[in-house]
Amino acid sequence: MLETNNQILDDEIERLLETSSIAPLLKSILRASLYTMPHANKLAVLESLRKESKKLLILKAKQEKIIEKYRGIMGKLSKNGQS
Amino acid sequence: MSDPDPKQDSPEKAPAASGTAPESGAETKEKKSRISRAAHEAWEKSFGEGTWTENINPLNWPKKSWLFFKNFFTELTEVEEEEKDVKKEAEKKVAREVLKTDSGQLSEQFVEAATKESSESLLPEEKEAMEIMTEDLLEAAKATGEPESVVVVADRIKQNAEQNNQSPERVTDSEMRLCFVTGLFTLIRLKERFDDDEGKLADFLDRVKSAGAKSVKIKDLSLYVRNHFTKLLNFKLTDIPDLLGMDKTDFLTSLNPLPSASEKMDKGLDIVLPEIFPSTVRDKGLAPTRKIFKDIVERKNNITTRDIAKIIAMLDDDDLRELAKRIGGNKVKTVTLASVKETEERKQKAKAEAEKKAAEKKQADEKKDEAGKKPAPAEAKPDQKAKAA
Repeated sequence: MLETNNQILDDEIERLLETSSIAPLLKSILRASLYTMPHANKLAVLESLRKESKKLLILKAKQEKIIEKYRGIMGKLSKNGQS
Repeated sequence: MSDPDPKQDSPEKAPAASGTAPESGAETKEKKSRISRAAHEAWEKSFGEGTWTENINPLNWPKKSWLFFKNFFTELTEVEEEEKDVKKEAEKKVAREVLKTDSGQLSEQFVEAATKESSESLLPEEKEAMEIMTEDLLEAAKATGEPESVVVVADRIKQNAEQNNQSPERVTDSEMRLCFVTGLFTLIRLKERFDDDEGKLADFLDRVKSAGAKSVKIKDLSLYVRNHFTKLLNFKLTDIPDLLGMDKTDFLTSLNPLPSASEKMDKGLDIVLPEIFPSTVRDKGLAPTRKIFKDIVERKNNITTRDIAKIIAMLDDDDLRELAKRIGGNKVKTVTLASVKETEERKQKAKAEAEKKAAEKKQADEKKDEAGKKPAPAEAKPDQKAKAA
């Protein structure tokens, strides 16, 4: 049971690591440490990565919004420049 | 974040917005060209490659319209800064859990090096040396059944070095430092492995022999590791007493087991130093060789042999103690403690100097305050004016 849980945790951590912004070397170290990492520590890592992922999604949306907002304005401005 | 208002950025308001002294023609030209380049890059970064046209160039817009562009970048930069904070926070938390797990085998320094970024680049020769060094580390790690983490990290460094030839990404100082620390841990673990299993020592010696070593006189592996450790730091065992201001005989008798101090001094100590191996083994050894490490360090930082000992001081006290504990030998322990002592003395000296300066500053401030409170200087002002006149 614990093994199954651990496997689920590992998979989830691995999935989050794909999109995580943490340094590649730290990712490598984390991946290598996973198999010896106690359950509680894995949970803590998972929580941190989830938080990071959530915040990154919010920031990504914020960025999209800014780009969208300025895209229209810039379009108008470039037309003005052309005329 | 508020929507930009075109009226707010009208040409009439622009000079007040800049608020700087008038620029020369060349300066303005240079500034415009910089803005144009930055705008081009930023536009394609945001809206995709090939979408930039000269019509978009803010320099072709009515005079002040490019302020919109500035607003755009400012807002984007704010988001990027927030992203950096999120990244930092996640790294800190993940590193904490990794450190807890690895029971001290990975130091904070190690993880710090893995996350730190540096723009400083290495010379092509250094990159080459780095690749060889990493190659050696990998070999050593794999051959001795190293924990996967070391192999993965060394592999990653190697990949980075390889990518270096094709992309502007560079091997950073932090990676070099990481490689150094990895080297230390590899050597420490090498010793542990052999300590645990004498069969592995025999295998190892066989491999060394089959690699072409003329003779292997190693009877005690800890000596091998100590020698190799000192090779990594680019000094001979015979240098150490001198380095520490110790009596050579005392130092040599602290090494165990060796036949006699005089014999050791004559020939025994350099048992694994380069002359015993043919050049192929010397240059492509199982761990970073003296030559390679020397190349890397000296070209990089112009460090002398003695200064290398100070590299050890880069590790924190706990790491040094751990290192001493793992290496085990009296000598290395002394080196370690001496480094700790040196670091502490330096810290204390710096602290005392800072306190002294603070006290002096305080005294000077008090004097100033006292002088400020006295009415006399106000009265003396006309005299001073007269003197000045």
